Order: sequence, then C-alpha cells, then structure tokens
Amino acid sequence: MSVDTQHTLAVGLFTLVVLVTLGITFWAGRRGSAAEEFYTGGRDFTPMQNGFAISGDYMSAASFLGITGLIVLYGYDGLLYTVGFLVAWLMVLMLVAELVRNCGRYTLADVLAMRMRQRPVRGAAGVSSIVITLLYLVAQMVGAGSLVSLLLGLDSSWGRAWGIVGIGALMIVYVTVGGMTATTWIQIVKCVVLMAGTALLCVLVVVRFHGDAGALMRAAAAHSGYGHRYFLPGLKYGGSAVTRLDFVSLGLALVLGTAGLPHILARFYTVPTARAARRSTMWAIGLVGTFYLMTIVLGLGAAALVGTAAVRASNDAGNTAVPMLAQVLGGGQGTVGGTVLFAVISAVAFATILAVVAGLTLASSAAFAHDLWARAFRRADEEPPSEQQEVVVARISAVVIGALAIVLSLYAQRLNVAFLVGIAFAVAASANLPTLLYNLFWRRFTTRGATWSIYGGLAVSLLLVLFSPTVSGGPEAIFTGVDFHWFPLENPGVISIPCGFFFGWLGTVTSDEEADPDAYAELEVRSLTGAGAV
Amino acid sequence: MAWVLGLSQFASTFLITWLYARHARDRRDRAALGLRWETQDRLR
Repeated sequence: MSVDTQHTLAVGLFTLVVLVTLGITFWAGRRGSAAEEFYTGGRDFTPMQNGFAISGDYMSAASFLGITGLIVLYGYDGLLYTVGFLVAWLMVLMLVAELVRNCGRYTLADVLAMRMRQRPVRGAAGVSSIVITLLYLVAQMVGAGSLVSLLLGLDSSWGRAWGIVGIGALMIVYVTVGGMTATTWIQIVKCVVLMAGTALLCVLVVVRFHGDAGALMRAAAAHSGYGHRYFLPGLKYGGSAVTRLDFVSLGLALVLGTAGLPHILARFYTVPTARAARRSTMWAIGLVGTFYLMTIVLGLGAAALVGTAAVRASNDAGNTAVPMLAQVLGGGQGTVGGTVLFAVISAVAFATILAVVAGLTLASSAAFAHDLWARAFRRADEEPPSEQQEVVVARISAVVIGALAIVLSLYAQRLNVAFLVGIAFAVAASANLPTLLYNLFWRRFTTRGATWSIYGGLAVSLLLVLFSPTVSGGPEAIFTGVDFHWFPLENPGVISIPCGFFFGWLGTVTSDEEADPDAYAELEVRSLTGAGAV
Repeated sequence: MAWVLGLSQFASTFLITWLYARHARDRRDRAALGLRWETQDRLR
C-alpha cells in the first residue's frame, strides 16, 4: 500500500469521525434550548458518564501525542509530565469538585457571587476564564492544524491553515447547535475511542517484547541514544539551576492549574449532586491514571522500536511519535497492517482534539454570556435579561470566540503546543485558583480581595510570559530579531501563583468593607451539605 | 530509582483517592444530610 492509500484511508476515517460527531450534535440539538440544557445538559448525567466526559475533556492531543513524544525524547523528564497531570486531580477531588457543585449554577463566577458583590467579581472571573480558555484553545488548534496537515499529507502552510479553519468551524457547530449535551456525548465517545486505541497499541508493544518490561526498558535505553542516562532525571531540564527552577514552575502550574480550569469546573454542573460530582472525579482519576500509565508504555515502545533520532527527525517536539509507533507495530511502512493502524490512530487523535475544543468553546461562551453580558455589563438596579436572551447571546458568543480562536491560531502557528498548554495552566493556577480557595475557606475574604487576586494573578502571569525567552530572545521565540526578555523562566508559575494568593490577601486586608458573615455562613452550609443547591 | 519514585506517585494517587472516598462515604455523607435536614428542610 502506498502513501496515497494511507492518506485516503485517513481521510475516510476522519470523515466518519466528523459524521458521527455531527449526528450526536443534531440529535442533542433537538432536546430544546433552555439555559439549563445549554450550559449543563440538564444536570442528569450519571457519575460514570460524567467521569468519561471529564477525562475526554482533559486528555488533549497534547497528552496523547505531546507527552508520549516527550517520553521518547527525554525519558524521565517526560514521565514527570504524566505525574503532574494526574496528581492535579487530588486537588480537584478534595478541595473543589463537591463544593463547587453545591455552590454554583453554570460558571466559576457563580461560586464567587454567592457572597461577593456580583458585578466586580463576575467581571473579573469572566475575563480570566475567557483568557484561559482562549490560550488553551489556541494551543489545541495550533497542534490540530499541524497534525491534520501531517496526517492527511497536506504538509504546507496552506494545509495547516485549512486544518485550523475546519476544526474551528466544527467546534462552533457542536456548541451552538448541541450545547452541553452534545459536547458531553462527544467527549464520552472520544474517551472510549482514545482509551481503546491507546490500549490496543499498548498491548501490541507488550506482545512485541513478550511481556518482559526489562527487555522493553533496555531496548528503549539502547535506541534512545542516551544509554543509561535515559532513565535518570535531567535530560530536558537538568542543564542549570534556572532550567531546574523552570521545571518546578511547570510542575506547580500543572498540579495547581487543573482545579482552576473553567471547562473542567463546568463539567461538575452536569451531575445532580455533590456526591455524584465526587464519584465522577473518581472515575476521571481512574481513567486518566490508566491512560497516562499506558502513554508511558507507548513512549518507551516508541523509543525502543522507532528510535529517538527518527522521531526527532520527523518532528522536533516529538508530536509524531505515536503515529510512527502505530505504523511500526502494524508491520511497517507500506504494509497493510501498518497503513491501517496509522490511519486509525490518526483518526483517534483527530477525535481527541475535536472533543477538547468543543468543551473549551462552551466554557468560554458561558463565561461571556452568563457572567459578563447578562450581569457584569449592567447597572446594579437594572433587571438581568431573560434566560432565553442569555442563551441566544451564548450561542452568538460561541461563534465569535471560535472565530477569534481561529484567527489567533493562524498567527500562532510557530508556537510549541506543550508550552502554550503550560501557560494556560499557569494562568488558571494564578488567577482562578487563589480566589476560589479563599472564597470557599476564608471567612474574611472580601470583594476587593477577589478582584485583586484575579486581576493580579492574571496580569503577573501574562507579563512574565511576555518578557520570557519564549516571546523574545530564546531559540524558539515568537519574535525573531528583537530581544526584550528579562525573566529567565519559560513558565511563570513559581512567581505568579504566590502573587495571586498575595494579592487576594492584600486586597482583603486593605478593604473598607467587612466580609458579610451571614453570606459566608450560608455558603459554608450550602457547600458542605448541598442545602439550597440547584 | 527515580522511575520507582515516579511510578509510585501513580500508586499513591490511586490510594489517596480511595481513602478519601471511603472517608467521605462513611463519615461525612450522613452528617451532611443530617445538617441539611436540621438547617434547611425542617424549616419549610
């Protein structure tokens, strides 16, 4: 079988993915358009369904392709990404999931507005949620563009641009037509497909080495070109004290950022009770943990069977390691098995991207319509608009945000995907998490503390990124030819997360107004017992 | 050695999740329901 047949097969499978997801969307779109339906899918998902959807929302192409690639290229330093992405869920499970489910209706700002003055906190939380989801969206779409062009053999700047525009158009249709119901079912289907595809490759790797983990690890070390050093820390981040600190910064952002991601928080509103939110988080931890364990096997398998040098030659960031491994496991290039497996795994990666961008667009449009347009942009004495009007605006804003993400992604094509995801997590950990935790656990926290914490964390993290070597002066910088960087780290987390907490404290102690003790008491009872929760 | 520590993070995450869920189920859910009854539902 030639390369052409391979691409024809991949196109066929991609079309199948598109048709299935559009079918789900139009089926879901017929269920009505109440706000409850659009934002939460009616809150009647079971914990198992929601756990699959959370995993489908969380395991992005950056995980499936990027992390496997990082393990191939850097061994142990790649492994620590998987650890960071998994351990983060303990924060979500213990501190956030149940309490947020009890206190909020549709967005993060609902939880803050329970005890704060509505307009300022909704304005702040709405802005930070849109910034975070846009950063994450651009990361996914830049990756999607290069992936689709590579897999379909359109390896040119035009091919990448068309990939980005096509995926952007699809996600807009999913969200505007199908809302949360369609998004959730697409994420569930994607999670099943992704787990099945990863498990299949994993089994093939294990069979290839006759179940001998030692043989797999020896072969991986031998073909990585590093030998024994492949299993030691420091291949990517061990260069100097600065790069080590960068690694700490990244780890901090990954572990603390997950609990502040708007599209993950929104998923907890799709189940009826806090207990269901807890059980869906447990499902998610099981699925995400199993998935990352399998990506470790895939990473070692790709290092052993494809070789680190070959992977790096195909893509500097290692993003093509998984499809290359699939081809080798199927029998090699040109064979029927290799061609089919390559096409199937490509389609799995495609479905993965579609599910994640749909969840992001929905969270972003909810933040705009529910928090900014319907409440923060109005005078205090003005009546909020009806829910029907709000949903119409949410659908329109999904189109606008989708279009904005497409345009930004077209300009950001040179950026590294894993880097962009790391920034989105750092901003979420600096702007959203401190406010959320203070709000739930600190009696004296005030409205000024909340807005200072959000705007402070947001501003510090974005400024540090602007003056980091990834924007100017570094080897893979966005701007070449100019150098205005003075902040040495690529990820701002280690500075900006403490700043977010500090500004929240500072705003609170300098406030003129006292926190309302009754409102906090009500929030405490409601968050712990679910009394009065919607 | 580093790999053993890394992989044990997976095991410890699963373990902590299980312990937390067991604690929540046995110690907290009933108390929360009781408190909810006391503070809200009985006033209706």
